[in-house]
Amino acid sequence: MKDRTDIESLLNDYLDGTLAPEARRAVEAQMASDAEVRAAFEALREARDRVAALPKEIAPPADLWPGIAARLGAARAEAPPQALSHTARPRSRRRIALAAAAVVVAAVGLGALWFGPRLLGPSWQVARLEGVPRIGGGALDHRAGLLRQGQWLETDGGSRARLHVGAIGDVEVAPNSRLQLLNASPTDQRLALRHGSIHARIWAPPRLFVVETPSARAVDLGCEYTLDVDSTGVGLLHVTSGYVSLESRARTVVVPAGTMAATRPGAGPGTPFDDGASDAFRAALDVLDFGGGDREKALATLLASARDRDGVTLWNLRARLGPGDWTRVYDRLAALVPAPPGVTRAGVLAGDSTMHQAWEWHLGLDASSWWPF
Amino acid sequence: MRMPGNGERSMLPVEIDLEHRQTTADACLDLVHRAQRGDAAAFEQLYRRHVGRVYAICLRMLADKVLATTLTQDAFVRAWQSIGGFRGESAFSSWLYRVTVNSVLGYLRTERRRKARIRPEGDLGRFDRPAPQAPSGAALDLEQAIASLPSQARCILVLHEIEGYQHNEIAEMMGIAPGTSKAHLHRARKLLKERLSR
Repeated sequence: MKDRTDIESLLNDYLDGTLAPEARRAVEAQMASDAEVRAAFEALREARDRVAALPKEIAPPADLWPGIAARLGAARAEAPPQALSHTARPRSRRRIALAAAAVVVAAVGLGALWFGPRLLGPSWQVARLEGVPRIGGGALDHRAGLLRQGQWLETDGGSRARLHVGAIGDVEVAPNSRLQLLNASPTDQRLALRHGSIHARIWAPPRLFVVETPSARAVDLGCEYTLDVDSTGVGLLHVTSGYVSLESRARTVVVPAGTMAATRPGAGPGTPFDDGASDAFRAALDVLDFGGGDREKALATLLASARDRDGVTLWNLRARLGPGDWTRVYDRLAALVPAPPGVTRAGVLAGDSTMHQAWEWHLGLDASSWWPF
Repeated sequence: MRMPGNGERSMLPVEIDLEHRQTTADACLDLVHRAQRGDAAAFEQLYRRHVGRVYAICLRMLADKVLATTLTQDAFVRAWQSIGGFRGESAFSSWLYRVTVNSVLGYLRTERRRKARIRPEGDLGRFDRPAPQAPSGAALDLEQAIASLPSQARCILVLHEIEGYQHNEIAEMMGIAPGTSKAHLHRARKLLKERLSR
């Protein structure tokens, strides 16, 4: 008959019933005479049938409606934009007015229902996960409590807590952490992490959830991340989904999923780096971001130890380097990650904004694509 | 209870089933019409009816629980925004699942630009919380095997074998040739066969 690849392809087509009659008869003849081909077909059919028989539904790990409802309100007014034009035939002005009033009532009702208790309240619910966290100096010895605007939450070495950030997400507070709720308004949910560690999962429009630290501000762009701050104010952000904008007066960097970034008091955020970057690469980057070593040697080490997944760092370093060093870094980047179509070395080095945008898309640094609404 | 007499037409199981389906479809259509008029409570009922299927599509295509949760929410927000344009030419569920698939594919296109930054595939822990009607151990193994497939092959397998899309539909949604869709499906089946026989 044919070679093995052709036979497999024919068996798949036979399985899907897409073969012409003559080819179908040939496959059937082959299966009748060749036990190996027949067995291969049976294995394919079994795999297909088992997949097709899987349950069509899987329950999500939690009720997602509160997050969806919050986003419906945040995306726009509650009524779908096409609703009136599509469904309400304008027989009279009175009918339109009534329909509009109904929509407004529904919008206000929904807003009150969802945003009132969940988002507008100047407090967050706190669930005690372990030990006895303290809120406003008092012990949280029940299962749950409230963290009011301005209050501090503290965990010791044996306690943990979970904050419910209105309807937009939750924040798990690790042991030995101290944080304050700064704001809990519909347009700004903000806390200050003095020291310790938090893990945030947020499903809200960009820039609604903010964490202030002594060295930078972490602005959520729709994501999941862990943020550690030590007693000296040095921070480390690790983004596992979406993007976070890490901001200070000196610098703003966008940290995408799969990368980390350090922050230092007085210096602000450092350059994002891949969470699998080597120790040598990270140490060299630390020198370039925050000083404390031989800069030239650090750059040489960084370039020598860079992998393709370190492209995000190399690209972001352009803000830290003079033209000569940037040229070296760019050449290394282009050697590791093929440049996007239409981008030239000369154009990038000359600062062509279109080419810079193309690189940012190429490297997945375009945070605007993450949140389409 | 009054039993049907000889002269009365009895309800055969298939008729009862059809009647039930019609009633369910009518109720769904009523919810859709209310949602089109801006009734968020009706939309919430639609969410509760369909979230299991929408989440299953997201989870199987993405093989990542956190992302599946986010994309499920995205799909419903997107559906709410465009429900006014739903004309009832297909079942609402078909329309919603297409919105879901398009949301996931849009996300994957963005992620593909981010190249190798996608988290490792095949993390078995992603299926550590089974549905209330928990699949059997064998089904769980199968879910894990599907999750371990390469991204594009996995998506096409899920769309074709579980969701019932044809290659020309998949090709249109993914911006590839139908032959490419077919090739990915064959590859997915081959890999799945190998992984299940280990």
